[in-house]
Amino acid sequence: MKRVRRFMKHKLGVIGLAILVFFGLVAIFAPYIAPYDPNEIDTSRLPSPGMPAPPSKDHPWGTDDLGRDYLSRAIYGARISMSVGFVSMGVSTIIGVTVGSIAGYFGGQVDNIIMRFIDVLLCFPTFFLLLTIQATLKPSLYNVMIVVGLTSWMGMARMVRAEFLSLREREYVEAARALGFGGLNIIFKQILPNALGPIIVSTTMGIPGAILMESALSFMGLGTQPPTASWGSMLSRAQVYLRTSWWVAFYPGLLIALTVLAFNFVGDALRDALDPRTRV
Amino acid sequence: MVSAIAEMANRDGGDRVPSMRVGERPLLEVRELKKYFPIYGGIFRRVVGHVYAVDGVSFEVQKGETFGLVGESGCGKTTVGRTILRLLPATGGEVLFDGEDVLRAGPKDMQRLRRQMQIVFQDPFGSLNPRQTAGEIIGAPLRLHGVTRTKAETDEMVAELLATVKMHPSDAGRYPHEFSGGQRQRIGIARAIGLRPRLIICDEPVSALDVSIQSQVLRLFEELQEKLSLTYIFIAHGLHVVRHISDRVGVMYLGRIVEIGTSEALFKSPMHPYTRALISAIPVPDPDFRSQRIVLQGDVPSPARPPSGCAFHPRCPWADARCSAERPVLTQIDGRLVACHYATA
Amino acid sequence: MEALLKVKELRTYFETSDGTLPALDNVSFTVNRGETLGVVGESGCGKSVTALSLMRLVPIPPGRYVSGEIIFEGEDLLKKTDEEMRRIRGKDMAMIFQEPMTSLNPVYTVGDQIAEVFTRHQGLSRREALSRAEAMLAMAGIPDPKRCVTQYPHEMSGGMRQRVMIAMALSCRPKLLIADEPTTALDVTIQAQILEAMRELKRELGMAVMLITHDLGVVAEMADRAIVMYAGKIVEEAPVRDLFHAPLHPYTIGLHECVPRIDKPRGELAVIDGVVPSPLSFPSGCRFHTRCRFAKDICSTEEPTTTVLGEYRKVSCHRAATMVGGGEW
Repeated sequence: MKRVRRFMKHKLGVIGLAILVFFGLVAIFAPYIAPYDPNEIDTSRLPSPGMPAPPSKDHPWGTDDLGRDYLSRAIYGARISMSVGFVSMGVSTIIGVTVGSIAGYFGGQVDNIIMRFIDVLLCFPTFFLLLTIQATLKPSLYNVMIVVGLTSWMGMARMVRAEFLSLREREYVEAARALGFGGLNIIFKQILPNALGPIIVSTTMGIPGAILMESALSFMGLGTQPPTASWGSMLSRAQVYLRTSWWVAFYPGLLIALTVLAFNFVGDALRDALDPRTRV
Repeated sequence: MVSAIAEMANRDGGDRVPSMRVGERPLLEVRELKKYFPIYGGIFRRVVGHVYAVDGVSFEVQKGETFGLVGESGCGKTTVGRTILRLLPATGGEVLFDGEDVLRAGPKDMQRLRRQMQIVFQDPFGSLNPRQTAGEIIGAPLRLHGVTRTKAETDEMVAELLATVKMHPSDAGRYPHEFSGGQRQRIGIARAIGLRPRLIICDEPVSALDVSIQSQVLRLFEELQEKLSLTYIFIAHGLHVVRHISDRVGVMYLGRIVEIGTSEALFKSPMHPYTRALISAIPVPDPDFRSQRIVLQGDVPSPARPPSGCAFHPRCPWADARCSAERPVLTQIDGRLVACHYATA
Repeated sequence: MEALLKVKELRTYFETSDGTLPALDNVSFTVNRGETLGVVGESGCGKSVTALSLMRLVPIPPGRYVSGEIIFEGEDLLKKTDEEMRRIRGKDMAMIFQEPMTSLNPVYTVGDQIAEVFTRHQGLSRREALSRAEAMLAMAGIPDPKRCVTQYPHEMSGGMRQRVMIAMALSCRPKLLIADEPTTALDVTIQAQILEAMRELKRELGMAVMLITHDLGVVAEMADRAIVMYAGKIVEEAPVRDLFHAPLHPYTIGLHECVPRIDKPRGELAVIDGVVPSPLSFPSGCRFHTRCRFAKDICSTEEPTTTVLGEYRKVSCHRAATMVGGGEW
């Protein structure tokens, strides 16, 4: 309760949380909010064939090049983008923290083997790794989420390991050992809480990356399949029209930027709320 | 409230046992303790050498006494403390606690031994988990070892422990950063005595504190020793503090003990040249005091490459050929142990 | 004796989110040419802020020189421009710190760092500067100065680094050396070496030294006079012999008693109760009254004025004032 109160004192954090909750609600209630069917192609809405229609009274965010209502697509896109962001970062955080903790806590050979394995994984460009895995699986949203998670935990693992390596030398950890506490207590009670700050920051920073990664995969035809809308895929389709039709890039870009900001604010607030040393 | 603390005092008889009582088994015996840290080098990170942090240290600590361990940074005094408690694995040697082999104890026995041997750290900022309240820090070990069984019992005991170290029971809900250095050190002490240990290793417990706070904490240590019949190993580099609190003192230099004696005798007439230099180097708070200071030349050599023979010979004003060739062993002279070829009563 | 530095009613405050922090409150003292002034106090008493204020190195903001004067060689340093201060710093006034590692730049050799002082303040060529650096290092007691100039700070021991710092600070023959806990981080045998070196250099160069320390032993050994600070104020000023043989302020008395003595038989240790007060909430009246064993009602309500017993003998305490006046406390 005290922590919730501390969080609530963080103005930007509350704003960020409000944005995320709003986007979440929009995603959940998309069918009731969206003014049009997001996948309905209607070329009669276009000023000229292949040119997106600008914002108008009927279509406040305009349409895309196929005449699909852009606002509706953005609303439906929130479903995909938000869940990809959450789930894939969840997967990557869980793997990263677990692997990093093990490597950092035990150190020595265990650490050596794990870190070399991570080095090997990092040798492959992430995108290439994604493609390989994704190509062997059926293209689907769930696969995208899992695969993005599976390919992005290495940074987290390295960071957590570094935190553990330095934190396990702290005198309070030694004190815990001298008092007879076992490994689990030391990992979960002594070290992990003190590493929470960087973990939260890194997770919230990773979410936008995951959202963009999804769009890249979709662009390659390996992620969400057309005509399903996601913010990422909207943005990548917009590249062609950057000069002529600003809104096709602006709206999805704005949404992604807002999400990124919101997550960062929430991350900062969470970190501060969980750290008794910071005063809020 | 029945005072559990008073109970512990009665268990061991309460009275302070004079040191060096003949015929009684010491509480702690350290024999030829060694701790080498490997140095890795090269691209394959192979062991290319060792830091001889502790290299054959032996001493005994009697029940109820305070054994001081002094020396300059890098002499290995802190490592001795850590190795005795198995916070660091020993390279060799033996540690007997009340006759029981500590270094070879199995997990179960070790858990039981941990209750009896505790440690208080130097850094009042680093030795308390910043994410736990004082109550959690003091209370968790009590639950772990079954000293208390319910939350209510734990809270009561925590309050009592806080009172013992002269803090307020309401401090239990506060976090370490809300306390001053001295208060933090008291929390560290409360955590250590909660398990009713018989031996506490105090590793530079007052070095990081302001002088006016140092004396408060030293007083607390003295009071607790009497009340709970504790035995201390008091590790410090501040000689005046060690002299004040210790019954006997061991002086370390480069991983070895060079002299052991009663505090009174050792400071009055040091036998080893290093002890003598160390004592003479302390600035005396009296402008009229003029001692004959022995200003040692040079720095302490690296423990990775200790000098041959007597490790002190490169800095010793009286060293000769024998000192660089032959390592002196600790020898009993006049009720004292000295490792110097030329030590005389 | 001629005054080199006169600090008059200096107030240095810090503005923080929690309020104003009176780190230095009405501090006045003098440093004469060629003498060593000891500044004694515990953490938070303002002794380091005093040093930084003299050097005009207090970060502004959050720091603020509220009032007062710092007269150095007849001129008020608080009225100098930053540019003028830069010329004075290092040349007329130099400072050494507790932790020599953090005050040396790890990516330059020791020689380069000292040489830079010469090239900057005296306009010497690099080669000349380097050979002067070598001479300075030799003077500071470094055994192999030729090798030392080519070394990096991390290759040296703590004691050697402190010698390097001293050599660097003294390279322009400053008139005042401010040493902020110069030996606190060092072992006693190394401390003895450094103190010895400082004494020798002082004899040779004749600069005044302001030695900030918490160790009364160091003061007894090094200082001619001393001031004792508590909670942002000077509570007592005395020639060193008086300070040790006839301390007047209860805080000074307490400091003497609570440190175990190596030169006296062991006995019970006296204790100053309580904690060092936070600058955000200094006690009313005399700031020491909460910890003073002699405190009476007046101490908590009325701030003691400074009783002047001689040019260099001052104390701020109701009890001392009463007793000096022949009264009973």
